[in-house]
Amino acid sequence: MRCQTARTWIIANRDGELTARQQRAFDRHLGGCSACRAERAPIEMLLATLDGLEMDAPVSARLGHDVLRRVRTLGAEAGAPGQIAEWIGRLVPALVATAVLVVAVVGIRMPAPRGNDLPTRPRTRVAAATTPAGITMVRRPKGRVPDEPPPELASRPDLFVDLPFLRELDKLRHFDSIATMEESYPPAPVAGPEPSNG
Amino acid sequence: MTMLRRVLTFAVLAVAAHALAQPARSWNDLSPDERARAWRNYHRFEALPPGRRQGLEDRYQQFRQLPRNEQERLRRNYDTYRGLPPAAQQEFRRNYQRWKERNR
Repeated sequence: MRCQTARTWIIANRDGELTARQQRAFDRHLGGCSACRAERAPIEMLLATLDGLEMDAPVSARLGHDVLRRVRTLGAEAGAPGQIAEWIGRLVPALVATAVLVVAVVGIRMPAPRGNDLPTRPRTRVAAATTPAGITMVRRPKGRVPDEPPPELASRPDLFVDLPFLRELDKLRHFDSIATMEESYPPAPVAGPEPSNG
Repeated sequence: MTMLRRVLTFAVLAVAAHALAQPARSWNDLSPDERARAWRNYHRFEALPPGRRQGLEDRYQQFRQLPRNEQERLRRNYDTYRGLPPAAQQEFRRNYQRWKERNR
């Protein structure tokens, strides 16, 4: 197998999408190619970090209010009521999107909340931002939790409640062995890095 | 005496079954917090490629078939893992990759 192929399979391998034959070829290649192993490590770490991120970005109530206040100020500066409405229409999505982006970037650098995905403390979400008239300006991408969930969700809700936990199941089963691994494994190569075979 | 033995056997089996199998909860059994989490995770799940979804389904079934004490052990491990500082979590993930290579 060529390195190029192995590298395109790194994510597929993590997602469990390789066939048994592909898996063996992939494992064999990685066993002998330090360059691909080195390539895989940061990808695995990145994906693990991404897995830990929440789909929705929590935004503090204060940030929401500040955004709205700023919009009103800009609207007032723009002049006529018609123009105000036009400015609000244009600016609010951009400002809220920026706020979400900032929160997401900050979130990457902060430790993930303890517990299973959803912290228990009350939070104000972007979805809660409303106009003074009470019109919701930004909605959560997937909407509110329905009273009647889709059949797949209703049939086994525990699967979805525990999704982040299940993702880590293999790690958790061997937690003690992994946590107590010695730093010296695998032994560092004596000579330079192995040449890539691709 | 035979009757007593039967009753005791039944009681032991009932306790063992209860200890081994955790009944699946329904949507109505979830707290509002859990419903919100399940709803979000459901959309995450839907966005995953089929192979990965299947992998998670398999893990769900595996987990459900574990004895309760083993399930509790895994949950405790998860809490410990989530409680690790970011650097320690990263180190743990690195160790996990090495562990996988060693046990391949």
